[in-house]
Amino acid sequence: MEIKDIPIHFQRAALKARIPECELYLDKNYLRAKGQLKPTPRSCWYLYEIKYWYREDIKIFIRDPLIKTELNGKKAEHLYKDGSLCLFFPKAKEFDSKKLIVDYIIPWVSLWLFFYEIWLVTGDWKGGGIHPN
Amino acid sequence: MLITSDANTQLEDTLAKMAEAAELDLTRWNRLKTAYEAISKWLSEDPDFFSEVEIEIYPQGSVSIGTTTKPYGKTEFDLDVVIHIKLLSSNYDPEVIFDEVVRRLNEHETYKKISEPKSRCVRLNYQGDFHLDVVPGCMVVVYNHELIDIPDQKNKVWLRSCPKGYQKWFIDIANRVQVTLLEKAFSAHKVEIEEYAKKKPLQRAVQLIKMRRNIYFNERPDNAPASIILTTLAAQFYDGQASISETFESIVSSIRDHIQTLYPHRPFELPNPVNPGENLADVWETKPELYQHFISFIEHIYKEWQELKESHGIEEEAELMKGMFGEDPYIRAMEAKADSVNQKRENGGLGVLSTGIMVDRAVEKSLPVKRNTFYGD
Repeated sequence: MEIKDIPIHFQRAALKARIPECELYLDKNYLRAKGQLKPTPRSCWYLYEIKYWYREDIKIFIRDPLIKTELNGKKAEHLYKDGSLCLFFPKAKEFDSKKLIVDYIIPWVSLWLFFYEIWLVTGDWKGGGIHPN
Repeated sequence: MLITSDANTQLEDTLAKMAEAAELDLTRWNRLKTAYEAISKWLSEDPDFFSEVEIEIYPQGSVSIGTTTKPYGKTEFDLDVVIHIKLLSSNYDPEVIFDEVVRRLNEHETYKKISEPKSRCVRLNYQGDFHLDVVPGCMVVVYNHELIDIPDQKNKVWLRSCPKGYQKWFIDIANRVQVTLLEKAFSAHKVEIEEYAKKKPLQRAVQLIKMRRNIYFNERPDNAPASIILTTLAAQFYDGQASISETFESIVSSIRDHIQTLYPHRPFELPNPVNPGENLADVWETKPELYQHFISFIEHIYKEWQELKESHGIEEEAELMKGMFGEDPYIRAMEAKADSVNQKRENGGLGVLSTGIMVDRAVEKSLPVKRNTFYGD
């Protein structure tokens, strides 16, 4: 049986149910989610913003504190040019419109932040991944 | 390492890993063992003075109590080994025993090249590994196997010492804790406790205090308080705390109180717990300025620790920890942490709470972190 795309209002409902304090905005095929999380108990809170265009695209930003894009002349890894986070490999369909944002994207934001913090304090990205170029 | 939602456990785990990163590793430990067994063998095979003499060789100081710390910015550790010569000190002049040890070591091609006689020991420089201070000692009385007399060749006197007694004294105090915070945490995780988490909080706290000392006095090592002073004070003020952080804090605060209430101006005596006639801090009598440096040091780490407790976020905490205990140990602890998270990621054991905090799914009820590949520049 083919798995169907998850309707956008389901995405919204799942986020609301799991993260009640998450701020949500839905307009037809566009969903925006704002919330805060920390990857470890000693980390600071990070405000994130997720923009989801149904069946088209998803962008994930950290709004506060600002993400450092450079450290001692070394560029931060796994950030797109617009400053959004590179969380998954689209070709491998690690995330697509058949998957719940709250189950996939949110935990990856934490994971990204975990490795971002390690990068900040050691200078090395330890989370692995693929660089297209 | 542990992946936990508890902030204290996270700090504890990092402190233990940092202290481990700066201590004598297994490879070097084995080399040390080989080195002193070879010395013992060489001495026993002496056709001359040592031929009929029973010799026992054992580590003393930080190796024997599990508190080794690598000197800051150097590759070699400073380690001590005792050659316990089963002859009565009262039958010999101190310089005779000392000279026999030097003579025999210099008959060995390698030792001859790496040896350097000091006033109370012969230093063997094992390049890249350690400086091994070989301390000869004779029996004080036949029925006591702990007490030794060490020849001071410069002043031509015997100095009383009791390295085995000190070791026992320290280890007994370190073992006053019933279950440590890390032992508890590992048992909650239902996994075998990792090597770095096995040492007692007192041992780890002593290592951290020495690591801090090495950095603080890096430019002026002559002003630094001796390890024996710091170690003895730490053990005396230890109250069986279950965590490294509580132990560190309580030791530093107690030393600070001790100075402020009783000895703000003049140095205190620090009797050797196993040889009370000896004042371990006698150097403060002759050089009072060293006592002032010691006070400044204690004051400094007290304040830093308060800052660390109040710090917010990993970036700020990292800055403080690197400054206090060294960049290298901190980075190594963080790398180990990343490795643990990656391992859990691989086997699907990584979980996340609604706060975003990542945990071990086997321990805390959480949602799985799905497999992903960070993709993009």
